[in-house]
Amino acid sequence: MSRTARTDALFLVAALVAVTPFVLQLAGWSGGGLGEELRLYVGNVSKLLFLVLAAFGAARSAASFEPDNPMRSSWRIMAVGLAGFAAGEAVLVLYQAVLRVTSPFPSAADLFFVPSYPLLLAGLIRAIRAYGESGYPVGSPRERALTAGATAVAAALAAYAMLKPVVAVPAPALEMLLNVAYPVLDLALLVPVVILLRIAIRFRGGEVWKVWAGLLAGFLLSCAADVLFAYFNASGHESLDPLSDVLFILSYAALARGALGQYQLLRS
Amino acid sequence: MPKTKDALDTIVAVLSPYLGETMARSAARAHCEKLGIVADGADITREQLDALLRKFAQGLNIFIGREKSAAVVGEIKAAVAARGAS
Repeated sequence: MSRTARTDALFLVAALVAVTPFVLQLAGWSGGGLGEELRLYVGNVSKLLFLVLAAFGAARSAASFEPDNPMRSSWRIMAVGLAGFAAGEAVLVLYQAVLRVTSPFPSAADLFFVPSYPLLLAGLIRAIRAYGESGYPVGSPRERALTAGATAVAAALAAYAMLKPVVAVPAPALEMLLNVAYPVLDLALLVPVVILLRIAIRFRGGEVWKVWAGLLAGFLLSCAADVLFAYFNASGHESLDPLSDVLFILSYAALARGALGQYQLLRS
Repeated sequence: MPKTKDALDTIVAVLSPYLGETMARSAARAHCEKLGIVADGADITREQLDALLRKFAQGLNIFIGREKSAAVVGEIKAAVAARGAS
């Protein structure tokens, strides 16, 4: 078994172990007080750990690219964005697992989460530009523009449908703003993600594909988790929140695998 | 020097684990077109091969970094030379 295959297997097992308590809850096996504790600690620790690994992998990848390589700045910006996600998650862990209180919303975590989105957006756009200028057949600028347009229209339609119930529920201004902002930022992130997915799919079967498959799956799952979380809360389906947890854990695991995959590819 | 097709097959074989076979083949075709190399032509010249590998390496830097890219290009050169000698 190769080193990358071993890492893939390790991540898969870790992610499956971490989501198991939430999947069991969704299946009606909540496990009482013990199950509650397990979900609290496994959920919080796994999310934080995967995000720290993702930020570490992205930072090491950035450092491993040469100073004049355009992918260096792309990974560096993404590393800062992922570190912001990790810092936000650390605040949530502090509330939930250390202080053992329900994390307030909005909280200090949002001060880290919200600014991370534009950074990730910028990092992904730089990656698209770098791949586009590689001289390899990754599609024309016109194709990328059309993909961006189609994704933006689809995202706007999805945002309208998803946010209608969210906006209808009365909430304090800042809470409302964030309830709308997260799905909108996630959907904005979808535009470069879909473009990169179309580029990356041309590399299927190779190590480069694995890097982007992980990273892009992570962003797609994170988008789905944020949108569902906002929708479940606004529509009173809080019992489905464990589904958001499952998606967040899988998302962060995929981000970590993708970022570490790039580092392995540069260093192996 | 090896036949152009043999050289391209060698390049594709070395690059496939990194780029996937589809991208390795499309890139070989695209780079050959840009450089005016007839993919199913006769022997590839040393100059053509060097130009082709330079083209591959430029983009490869973006995907796997310069250090790894140089190692991969070295691997291709050795494999093409071995194939040409056989």
